[in-house]
Amino acid sequence: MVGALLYLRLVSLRNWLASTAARLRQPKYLASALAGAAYFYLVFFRRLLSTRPPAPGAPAGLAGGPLEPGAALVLGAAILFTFVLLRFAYSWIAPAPSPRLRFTEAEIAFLFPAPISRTRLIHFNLLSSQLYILLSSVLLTVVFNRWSFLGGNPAARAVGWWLILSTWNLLGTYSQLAIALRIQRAGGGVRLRVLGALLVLATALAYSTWQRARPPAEAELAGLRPMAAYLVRCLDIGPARTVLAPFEWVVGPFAARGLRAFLLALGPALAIPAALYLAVLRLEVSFAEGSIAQAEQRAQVRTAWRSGTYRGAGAKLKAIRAPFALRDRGRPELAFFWKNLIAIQAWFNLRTFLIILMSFAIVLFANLRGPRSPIGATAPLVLVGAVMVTFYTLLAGPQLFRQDLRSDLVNADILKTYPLAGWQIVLGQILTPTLLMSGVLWLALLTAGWAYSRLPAAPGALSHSAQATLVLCLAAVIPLIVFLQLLVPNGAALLFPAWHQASRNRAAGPEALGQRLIFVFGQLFAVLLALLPAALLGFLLFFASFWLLGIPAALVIATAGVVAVVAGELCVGVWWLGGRFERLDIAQELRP
Amino acid sequence: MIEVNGLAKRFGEFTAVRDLSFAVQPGEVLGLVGPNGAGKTTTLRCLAGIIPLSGGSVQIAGVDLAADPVGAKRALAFFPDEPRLFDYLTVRQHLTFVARIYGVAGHEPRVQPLLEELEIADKADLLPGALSRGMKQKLVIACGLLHDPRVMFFDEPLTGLDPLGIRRMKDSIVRRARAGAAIVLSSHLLHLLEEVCTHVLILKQGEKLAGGTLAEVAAQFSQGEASVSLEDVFIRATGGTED
Repeated sequence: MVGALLYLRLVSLRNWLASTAARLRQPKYLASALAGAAYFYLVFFRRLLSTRPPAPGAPAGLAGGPLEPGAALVLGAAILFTFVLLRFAYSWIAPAPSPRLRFTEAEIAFLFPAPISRTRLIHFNLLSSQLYILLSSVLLTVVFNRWSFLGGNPAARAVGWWLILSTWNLLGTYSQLAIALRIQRAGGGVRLRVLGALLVLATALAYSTWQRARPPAEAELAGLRPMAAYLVRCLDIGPARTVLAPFEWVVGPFAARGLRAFLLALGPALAIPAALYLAVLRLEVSFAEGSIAQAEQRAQVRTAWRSGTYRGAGAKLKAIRAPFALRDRGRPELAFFWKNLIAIQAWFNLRTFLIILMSFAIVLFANLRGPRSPIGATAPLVLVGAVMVTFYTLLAGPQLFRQDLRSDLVNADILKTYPLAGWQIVLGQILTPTLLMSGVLWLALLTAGWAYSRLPAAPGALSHSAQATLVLCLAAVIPLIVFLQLLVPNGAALLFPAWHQASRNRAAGPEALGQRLIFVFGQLFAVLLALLPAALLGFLLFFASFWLLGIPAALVIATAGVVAVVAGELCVGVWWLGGRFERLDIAQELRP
Repeated sequence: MIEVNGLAKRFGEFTAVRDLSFAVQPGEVLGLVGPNGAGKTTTLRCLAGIIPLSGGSVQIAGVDLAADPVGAKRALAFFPDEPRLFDYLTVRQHLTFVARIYGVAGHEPRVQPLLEELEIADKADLLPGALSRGMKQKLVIACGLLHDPRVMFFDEPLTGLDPLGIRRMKDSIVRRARAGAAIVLSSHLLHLLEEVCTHVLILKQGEKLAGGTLAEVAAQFSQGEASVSLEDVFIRATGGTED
């Protein structure tokens, strides 16, 4: 069994590396891998490999030398205890419908009908997770190497992470099987009894600890390090000490200083996962049905995620009425607008928009009552809030509103059989998120404009007419900027379909990280670059005309210039991406 | 109706289809057969305008696919092996969407008979997620037929259908051909192709091994036998291997 598992994992890994390496022959994918590798090196590995001491005056935090071994042990045990308690409680609050272990659909197809005993299947499952745990241990050691307060050396910490994660995994496996089995046998009523007992025990423990601990002195709240020391003192007494003991065993090697301490800590630390392992093996429980159901569910989620239609666990699709009647004749681009409007209603419907609208309306109404009213005096806060909403929508909106070409890339073959030019498809697909993002931004702009008008007039501030004109001009520019913001990620999906698909697959690794970095910075750079000529022209027109015509008229002229330049750029962009879409062979691009 | 001359498709250094020529007239059904990896799907995707040709030319209903792809696509319908649908559109909304894309005037009176013919009228307000694979395939066919295409391409149209579904699909293809459509379909189910196709084209490693009416191709590989099945022809033509 071990041989078969190793063969499966190693061959899969080798083939994955080979297909990734083959893709890296294309410069665009090589660039992403280099960017990801550079990020990893600069952020994590450079410090790990560096022998230089930290620069004086570096941010302190919990730094300033490692924590006492005992303190690190107690804190680590307390953190682990909290996680285990929460996980245990969650397992009882939302138990699995039946005992199950995590297998992929392919593993189920090959292993379940094979002449393999139940115990061997459990071994397969545990060994499979060991490969991920080993990798995670190395990654966590590298990532948290910056936390100098942990002390110890990286090798000991890697082993420590492995022990913690293995215990966590075995505990999860045991609780998942045991709890589902217990509920199956005893009925749902047992859940309430166990949860009640958990609550009583946790409350009693917290109360007991609180009673024994003295209130913190002011100096003990002055920073993270004194706070940690105070917490350790509180936890190192009474029942808390006893409860945390087995967790301290698990954390022992992680917090150990020196080889001797590490070796001494290994024994008790290994005893816990070993006991859990034996407990899992001794559970007489059938997990086949639950595992199959879980694998199918995960496969459905993965498919939905890849197609961009994942709406969260348990969510079901339902038919949604069309927002308006689509006539047979007319611009075909509107058909995409109509289709995506239906799709987006699954999570951003009229009710959501009305809630947003009402929120803005309440804020505006409060401000209407004047700055002397308690709520009305919040105009500066409202202004800041509206500006933040604007920036957030502009930056994160394109990632949230994805009902465009990106969500339809899996249907590219079908879209390409339509009697439409590529630019028509690109244009039609982007219309819906443009409208919705523009709607949110218009509301934010209106709120910001209103809040600004309620502020005490500063010397040299814009007149009311100029303010109103500025708001209208910005409102005119917003849809174009939004379209530009959306055009960039859609273009990226067309230019780099494999990257786009990798993000759908929740891919990890330097290549995936690199592509995300390139996408984020690339989008920012592309938008700024596209806006630069428009902004220059706008400034020129404004400064050339406001001497003669006044600020409101100059704003209108400058806006007209900006609109013309950005609209022209968008036309060129849509036309170019349309051509790219026509030439795209999605099957070939996604071929490993 | 369909004229293919010297069609070639290359992916980098790999040639998937080379120098392929054939014609399909109205009323004819051409069966595209070949071992796995022979280039059947690539050929169909080229003919449907999904991927550009690397060489040669394709005329769809007299329109050059490379010169006027939009015009050529107005006359064709492509039915993929895997039904690709929009998750959030109901059956009826799919047809409304397609009607607008193809500019099918007064499509609504045509929808109900089409849905009834394909036996999905009672599913009109359901989303694809609530349909079985066969139903999804029927919806794809309904969408493809809505604009009365004169040229149809079916990629493995019988995959995933139950025996009744296969029978109805065959009847539907034959009926469309008799109504004057030119049809190209690919399938591995040779005995079923024998019932549907008037012509056959055997591909191997992207090259045409044989082509013509069923009788002509059978005669080419009969080796003196009185009657040979398409399966025998296929095995003799391909040498019984994929390579």
